[in-house]
Amino acid sequence: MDPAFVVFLLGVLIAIIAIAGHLIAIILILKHVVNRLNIILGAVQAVTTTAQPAEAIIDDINADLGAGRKLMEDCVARLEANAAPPAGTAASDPARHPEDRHGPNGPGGGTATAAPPARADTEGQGQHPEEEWPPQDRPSPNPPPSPLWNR
Amino acid sequence: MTLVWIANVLFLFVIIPVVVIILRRVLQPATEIKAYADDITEYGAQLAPHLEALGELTTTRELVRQANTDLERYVRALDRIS
Repeated sequence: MDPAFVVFLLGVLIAIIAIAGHLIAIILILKHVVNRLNIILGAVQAVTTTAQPAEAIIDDINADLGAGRKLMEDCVARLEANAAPPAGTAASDPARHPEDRHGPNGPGGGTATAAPPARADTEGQGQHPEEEWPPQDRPSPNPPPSPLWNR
Repeated sequence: MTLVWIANVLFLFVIIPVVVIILRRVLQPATEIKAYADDITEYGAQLAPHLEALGELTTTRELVRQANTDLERYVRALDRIS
């Protein structure tokens, strides 16, 4: 046999072995990938099955919470309306804020442009009993609402 | 005969290396895909246990309904008081 043909056959054999080796490696890798993808697909299906009814449940929860909030807001509005002072009292002193429940002797009872007295001047002297804070006849549940008082 | 030897040389030193290079270029992405698939399996399969709390949403819905009912009773009682 001619040595040239032997070399040719050897070359073909080497090429076939190289191609087959690489293709076998690729086949093994693709099999591995397919198995992994099957596992991932099962996990994704489980997640989908688990999360499927969540939207309806969350909608129900949101609706219930919204109804409760509206109920509470209406209740607070009714309570505020019931606790408001009578209309005649508010009309006799229109310069005051409608939510001011301290009366004319309370803090901020003067006009908005009046300068508040210095606290050190009136403290313990009783010269301006109408401007004392807190009033002596009743407890003070809230701080003075007027910002002029704190200047 | 000389042409046969030239063909052999070309086959051994040109064609076979080119084929091997091309096959390696196919093999390299396949290897990377395998690594990515492993990573996705490792982290994606852990997703399902983290969503087990979604089953508690039914309990949450029932509790919110009960709280809403109690809130209605509370508001009615406040209305009666005021």
